[in-house]
Amino acid sequence: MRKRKAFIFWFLVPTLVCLIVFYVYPTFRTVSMSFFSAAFVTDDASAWTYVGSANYINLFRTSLFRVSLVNAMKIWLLEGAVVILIALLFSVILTSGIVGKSFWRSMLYLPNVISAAALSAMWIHYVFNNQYGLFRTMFMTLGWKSLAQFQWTASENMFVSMMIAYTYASVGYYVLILTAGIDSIASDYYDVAEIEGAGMFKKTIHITVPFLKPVFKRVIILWTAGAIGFFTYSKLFTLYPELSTITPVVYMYTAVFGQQSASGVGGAALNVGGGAAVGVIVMIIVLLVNTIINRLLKDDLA
Amino acid sequence: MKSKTHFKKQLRLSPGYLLLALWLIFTIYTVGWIVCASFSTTKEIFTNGILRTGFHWDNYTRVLEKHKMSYYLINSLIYSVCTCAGVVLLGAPAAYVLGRFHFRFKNAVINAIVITLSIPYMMVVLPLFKVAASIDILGSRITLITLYIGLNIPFTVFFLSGYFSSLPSALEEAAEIDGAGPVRTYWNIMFPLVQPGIMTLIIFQFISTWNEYFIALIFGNSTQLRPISTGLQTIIQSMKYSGDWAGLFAGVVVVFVPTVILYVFLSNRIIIGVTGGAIKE
Repeated sequence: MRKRKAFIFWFLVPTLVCLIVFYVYPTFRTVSMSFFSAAFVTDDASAWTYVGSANYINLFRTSLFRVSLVNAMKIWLLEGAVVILIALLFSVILTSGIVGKSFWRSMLYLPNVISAAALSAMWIHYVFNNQYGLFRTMFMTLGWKSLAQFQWTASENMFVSMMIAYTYASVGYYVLILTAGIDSIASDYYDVAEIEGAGMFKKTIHITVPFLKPVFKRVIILWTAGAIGFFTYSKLFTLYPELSTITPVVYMYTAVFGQQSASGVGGAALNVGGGAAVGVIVMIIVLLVNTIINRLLKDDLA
Repeated sequence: MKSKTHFKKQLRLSPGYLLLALWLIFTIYTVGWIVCASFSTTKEIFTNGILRTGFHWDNYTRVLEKHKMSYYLINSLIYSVCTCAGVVLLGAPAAYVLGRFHFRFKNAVINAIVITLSIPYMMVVLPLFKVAASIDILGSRITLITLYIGLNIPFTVFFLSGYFSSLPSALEEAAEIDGAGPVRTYWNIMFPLVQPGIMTLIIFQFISTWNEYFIALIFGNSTQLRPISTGLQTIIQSMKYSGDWAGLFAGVVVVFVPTVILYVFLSNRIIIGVTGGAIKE
């Protein structure tokens, strides 16, 4: 018996060490760091000065950080609604008995296996290009002059362009989760509804959506983590110093590691404590949203 | 009669087909255009005449050699292969134990793993950067490999434990009667039986490491360490200034071709990995 215990322990050791080294210790240290001021990320704790909640107060006084928070909220709510609705639409189509379901499903998921760097280059330098770009040539052919002349990559339009590109990249992931959920609903319900004469829309509203409540909960939780921690696309779609696409994590990255002059963040000395505070704020928002979602969408017995 | 109703039903679904077809056409057209542009000259791209003068392979030699893309490719390959090997070697034993045995603190360990799955990377990078700097490994590939393995262990254990718990328990009893110790039972009997799960995990891990951007940007921001994702961004920056758009698209193609090829052959496994977690195949 003791031998069995020993082997269980040794099999778990590598994982436990990883949990502590890569997650537990850094998380606590980031939280404590957020109450200190430090010039460089490589400074020892002895070089930090305690500043209380000053980092948090400064952050909320910085307009750029507030812009980044508003952007994150826009991504979470507006882009979230768009992506989840489109994903739901595609999932309903995929599960409606069409031919070649797995082919279409894998086409929808395809952008997820392509590097974000390559995908955003594809959008910025081809689809949105204002000389030879796909949108320009397509709208020209259709004769829609004003749309053809739209400057997708001008800094005031960059946020919308980024959202379009991100929709294309992320829809497929939610399609997979939602179709798996719909497939698990017993087909009897749909058969009865069909006999009763319900169309696709009615079936979606009265059967699919209510039965998918736990799946939607998972979708929202996954989306929240992605939206609040939005980084890669924002970094790749920031071509100008104006930063209309800035998000909290990009703000943190720039404040701690970034080229200050090019980005306009801070301008003054680096503040690692402020960067840590951004991490804490992001984490708190995610936890808060998840708690609310868990309350609102309680798993009642189906 | 039956085929007629079938046809009618398919006809009713035509708006759905239309939307799917739009998605397909957009994807194929865009990717196809970029592949063609990568073989053209920059002048042809700007005058809507891609491939007019045939295939220009020199775009690829330029991006691979002069812009060091081949270097980034090798880095990405090293990172992805080492991460896959590392997470399986270190994570699978824990997944086995958690999936098949009952012991004190088991639930505590599972809860800890689930909680870490929701900790965003930005909460952990600053202290990890400091640790890497103080043990002086910042300038080497070891840093990124270690980070990728360590940060992905919770997902690995979570994912694989479902596969281990679905195996029949008669196997272990037989092994015990035959006198095999727990380590041999694990390595010779149980580990080979979860091959499908391991394969799915490896494909998944390979693609996500290949495409990883955030950690690579912070911990590998030099020519020697850059993987292909951040490397492409560096190349794009310099090509924009030199006006080499054909080379830019060649770079984009080099980045997405490996994962797309993997996907073409293994898309079913990847999709199972996303949706099921531990759904049996």
